[in-house]
Order: sequence, then C-alpha cells, then structure tokens
Amino acid sequence: MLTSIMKMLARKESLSMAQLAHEVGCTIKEIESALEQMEHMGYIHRQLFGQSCSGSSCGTTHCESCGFASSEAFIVWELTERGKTMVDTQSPK
Amino acid sequence: MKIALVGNPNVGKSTVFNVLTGSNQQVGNWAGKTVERKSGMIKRDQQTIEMIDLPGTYSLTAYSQEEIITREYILRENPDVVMAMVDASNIERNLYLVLQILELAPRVVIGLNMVDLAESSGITVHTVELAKALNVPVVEIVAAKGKGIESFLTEAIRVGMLPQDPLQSKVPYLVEIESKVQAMEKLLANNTWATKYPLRWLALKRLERDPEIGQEWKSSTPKPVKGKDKDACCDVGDGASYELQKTIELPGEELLKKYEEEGWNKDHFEMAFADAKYQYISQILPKIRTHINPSKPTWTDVIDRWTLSPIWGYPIMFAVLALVFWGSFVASAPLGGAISQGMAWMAELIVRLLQWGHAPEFVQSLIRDGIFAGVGAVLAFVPQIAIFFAFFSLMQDSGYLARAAFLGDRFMQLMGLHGKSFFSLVSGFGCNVPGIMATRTLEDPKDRLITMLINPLIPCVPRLGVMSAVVAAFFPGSRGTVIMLSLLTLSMFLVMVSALFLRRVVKQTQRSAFVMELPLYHIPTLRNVLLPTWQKTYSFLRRAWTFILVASIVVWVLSSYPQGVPMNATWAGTMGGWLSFIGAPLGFDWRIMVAIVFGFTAKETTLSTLGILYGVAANASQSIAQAMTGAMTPLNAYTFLVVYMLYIPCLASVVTTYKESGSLGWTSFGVAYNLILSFIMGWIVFHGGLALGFH
Repeated sequence: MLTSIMKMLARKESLSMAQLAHEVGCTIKEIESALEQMEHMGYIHRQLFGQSCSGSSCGTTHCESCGFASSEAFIVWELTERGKTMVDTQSPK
Repeated sequence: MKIALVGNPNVGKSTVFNVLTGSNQQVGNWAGKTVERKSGMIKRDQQTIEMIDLPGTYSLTAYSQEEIITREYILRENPDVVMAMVDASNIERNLYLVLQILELAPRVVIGLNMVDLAESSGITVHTVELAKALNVPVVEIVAAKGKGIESFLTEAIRVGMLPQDPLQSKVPYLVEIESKVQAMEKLLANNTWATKYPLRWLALKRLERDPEIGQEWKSSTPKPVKGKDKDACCDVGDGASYELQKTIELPGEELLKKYEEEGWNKDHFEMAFADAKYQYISQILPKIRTHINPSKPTWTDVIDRWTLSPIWGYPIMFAVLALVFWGSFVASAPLGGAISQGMAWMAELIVRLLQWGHAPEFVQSLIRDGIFAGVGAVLAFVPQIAIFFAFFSLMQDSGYLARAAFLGDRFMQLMGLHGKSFFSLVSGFGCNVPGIMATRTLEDPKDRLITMLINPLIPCVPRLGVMSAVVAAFFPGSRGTVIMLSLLTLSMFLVMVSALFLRRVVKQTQRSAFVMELPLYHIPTLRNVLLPTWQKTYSFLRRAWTFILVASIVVWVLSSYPQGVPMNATWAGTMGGWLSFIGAPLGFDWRIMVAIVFGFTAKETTLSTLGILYGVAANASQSIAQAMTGAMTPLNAYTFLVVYMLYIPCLASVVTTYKESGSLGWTSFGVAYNLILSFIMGWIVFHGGLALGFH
C-alpha cells in the first residue's frame, strides 16, 4: 500500500484523498494512517493552506487581499526529496 | 515481574497506569532525554510488579526520542510482558505499532480500549478474531470508566508466567524479501552480540541500516589494541589489528552491499517492511471489524462525484463562475447608478458652496473635475466589487473554491507546473502581491520563477473592478457576463501558453503532484461571508480615499494645465500624444493611453483617470459609462479590456516580483513580456474584429 501511494504521489496528476483511496483500494482512514507513517519516516511532508496562510505557508502579509485566505484549512501532501529519490531509484526486482 | 505499557499517544495508557499503580508512582526523565519516565509498583497475589508507562509512539523506528526510548527499554530491560493498548475506534492506525511490538517482544497482551466509543460509532471489533489473527490475548477495556483494566493486568500476569514464549504471529513479507531477511538472520545468528536481541528483529533493522543499532554494535565491540606502529610490526596479527582500528565493519555489511547492487538500499527495505505491515492490516481488518451502520456516502461524497468529475467538473465550474459574474453585474447595477448620481449631486452641492464662498475657480475645478470625477468613478463600482467578493467568500466558505482550485491543478499539469502553483494563482486573483509572495511554498526555484512571471496574467480584483465597469458600460445585461467570461477564458489560456513558453526559457523540466485533503462541504455562515467581504471591500475603499485621491489630483493637474488650451494640448494630452504611436494600431485615443499609463501605479487609477479625462463630472447627469460609450466603440472597449487585463502589473507587484526573485533581469523580462503580449493580443483582437465586421 505504501509503495502504491508513493507511486501515486510521483505521478504528474494530483489527487484528492478519496481518489487516492479508490486507486489504492482501501479506505480513507487507512490512507490517512499510511500518510502519517510515511511522513514520520520522512518520505512525504504536509503543508497547510487556507486558514493558516497568514505568515506560515506562503509568508504573505496581504491576507486581506489574498484570493485564497479561507476559514477552512486543508492539507496538501507531497513527496520529500528522500521520497522522490526513493521513487526515482530503479525498482528492485 | 516487569511489565511495559505501550501504545499510540492518547490511547489511554496513562489512565490504565494510574488506575493500576495508584499513588505508588515515580516520575522522572529518561536518562539523557527530555521525555518523562513513569514507573510504578503493583502488588497482586503476593506478586510485586514493576510497571513502566512507556512514551506514546506511533511506531518503533529511530526517528524520535519516544520511539528510541520505547524500543531500547524493551530490548535492554526485557520486560516479562508488554501490554499494548489499542484504540478500537482507530484500529488501523494503532495496529502498526502492535505489529512492530510483536517483532520485538516475545510476550504481548493487547488491551482494546475505547470499545464504547467505537460502538457508539457503529464499529465492532471482534476480539476473538483479532486474537486469532495476531496470536496474542486481547482484552476489552473502557479505561475512562475503569472497566476491564484488572482483567487486562490479570491476563498480562498469566502470559508473563507461561513456561515458554507463546508463538505470536509474524507479519508475512513477500517471498523475495523474506529470503533476504532469512539470509541476514542466518548471518547474524553466529554473532555473539546478535544473540542478545530477537534475531528476526535485528535482521530487519540491519537491512534498514538502522543507525541506533549500528552505534550500539560499535560501542559494544572490543577495540583493537592501540599504539602499535604498522611499519614496526612484523607479526601479521599486529598488522591486522592496525587495519581494524581504521574501520569497524558491522556484521552483514557484505550482504547489504550485495543487496544495494541489486537495487535494494535501506530505504527500499524500510518501505517494504512498513508496506507489508499495512498490507497485513488491510487484510485482517475485514475479519476483525464490522460496521453495524456502514458509513453511507456523505453529502460531500455525493456532490464531489459531480464537481470533481473529469466530465462534469469543468462545466459546473464554468457555470458557477458565470453565475458569480451575472450576479455581480445584475445586482449591483441599480446601486452603482445610485452612487454615481449621489456623487454628482454631492459634487454640485460642494461646488455651489465654494462659489458662494468665492473660492477660486481652480479649487472648484479640482473638487468637481478632479476629486469627484476620479474617486467617484471608482466608488460607483464598489457595489459590484462587494457583491463579487461576497460570491467569492460564499464559494470559499462552502468548500467549493478548494474543488475549483483542485480542478485548476489539471491545467497546471498541462502547463507542466507544480500542483501547488495554483495556490499562488488563486491568491493572485485577489491581488497579485500575495499571489507572487505565495510562490514561496514552491521549493523548486524554477517553478517559483515561472509562477511568479505568469501571476500578473491573472486579473486581480482591482483590475476586475475596472474591467467590469467598462463591460457594464458597453455590454449591459447578460452580454456583460458573456464578455467577462470570454476575457477570463482568454486570461487562463494565455496563462497556460505563457507557462509552456516560460518552461523552455527557464529550462524547467519536471513537475510533481500531490494529494490534497479537500474540506467537507458545509453551509456557509453569514459571518464567514460578510466579514471577508467587508474586509476586502474596505481594503478597496481605503485605497480609494488614499492612493486614488492623490492620483486623481495628479491627473487633474496634468489634464488642466496649461490652462486655456484644449484638453489634448494639456500636459496629459501631450503625454498621450507621445504614446499615440502605440495606441493607434490598437484603436486607442490619447485618453486611453494616459489611463493605461497611470494604471501602472495602481490598477484602479485607470478608472479614475478615465473619469477625469472624459470630463464625467462636468456633466452631472452623465456617468462614466455614458461618457465612454460616446467616445469609444464596443470593439475599442473590448480591445482596451484585453490590453488592460494583460499589460504590466501594478508597481507593487513589480517590486514584489523583484524582491521575491532577487533578479532585476527576470523582473524586467516579466514586465517586457506582459507589455509585448498585451500589445500583440490587443492588435489581434482589434484588427481581427474589424475584419469580421465588428466595430
């Protein structure tokens, strides 16, 4: 499952959690658990967008003008350099 | 007897520990660590039991202090039993640690906590099936109510007193991985150091090149004798010991190097072992857990089937945007008209008062033809801006904007841009300054640069305000919606084309994607719609009575002096004349060129400048819309809209681009690119329109 998730993250097309769960063939809760573990292992990391925009993720100080500042924070997961290296390395036979 | 209590954070370990140990506790810190150490004594049936509450942890890798402490304790102190607590309502997360514990500790008992919470959510965990799957005893607990805790301890004592280690389940690995594990086990079996640890676990850690294990082995290995000079030696043994001083190789190193040549490095092994555990959890979950009330699709799931559909998602998004623009135009028209009339009436009143007070003519002209004409032109479109912001806030708070942005990522994919670029571009929709600053979230400098350079092609709200004013003047009603949508479509198309072009200029190659947790849909609250609407509208108004006011005065001066000459002979007219060689091919007169130039300082000043140069306030009954339609054709207006939408961003955006990119060269390139693109597109639209018979 983790390897499948890594391969999904290495694809060019971004996915929602529901889409990822469907592709991998498990529930969203299992996906969430796997993502947290992979983050802990250093292969992926998360970024917060929306509510936490001010001063953290993007560092802008023009929040009142920002088209994206929202009342809802949401999470984006992506591969770290270590994760990219791992995916790029030839798959072992 | 020694018992260790382990589990994920917040699983209820402390509750169980406190109930069992009561006041017989000792609290301190683990040696050399900042993590708290809690131990306590329990007496049961003349047995004295030392219980350690190990730190909450999700796994037993070597990435955190808590993990290292937990596994070091189990390895060195050899507790008689490990009591592993599991949250019944979140079993998929908790079982990962349990599977790792089973590889490390020979005697484990599982305490299934929060059974009541799980049942209230319609989840039943079958303890018998779980016990069978893992081959360990499982006891149900409700720690918060003190239920089952004593049984948990009783079972742990029973297991601790068994004559032999029970046969606990092993996580099945793939055949090729299992063979490698067994090969490492065989190699380590002959090593005396290795016999101190569970062989299988050690083999797994060695394959992962676990740094803690390596350190531990090196510190436990007897050092070769020092002080012997190699050259002085004549004994092979001494030479050999000299070589050993230089490198201390861990057991299994040769095997690991062989595996690395085959493509199996430590990360691959670590991922394979973790993967196998999650696979195993996935396999046993259906047997050990049932939902009495299986989760029905939520409203979010149902709506997302349409809004995220590759077929329907985009038409829906287009329709929503069309509704936003149509609502902004239609609802605001009466209010905008009322504000225009009100501003004209107020200008007339103030001028009459000034006349009564014998104020100089130039003061009267400044007030009427400068300030009221300029600022009034901008204020007349505040209702449109406010309604647009309200719709935008509605989309944000409902959760739909995140979906729209997610769909927009498909375009990022076509452009070869990083998925996170769309956050910057959506931010730029409000104002290009935060949009450009938001590129800081992009790690790749080339992604950052490209996103920064295309950001100004996204029409910001001040630009949208000016554009909607001109659209409302020349294309009233539903036609205005169609025109605005055509302009936005053109903008998005040019963003894509520009990104593809800039990728070649910047020589950017790879794009990477991401997984996004979309928020649930919910009914927007009044506060979350009105407050941002007010904040953004107020920000717009603040610029009107500061920046726009000053700009209006400057434009009035330039268009009023020298006095006694026609307007096209004033300083402003002269400036417009210099620029006519650029404006003529686009069908622009000198007023539009001056307004475009002034728009560089702040986009709204284009509207205030047009208001002054078209002499709006000179005729109180005439709005800017009427003044412009008398002087421009619809084709001129559309050409102006295209050029205005695309030409250089405001001064603040240019400065921000320079600060964020750190490059005057790239900033200048960006400005030149916008100018040239806007001119080319304007020329195509104007001459194409003429050729097609539009005017």
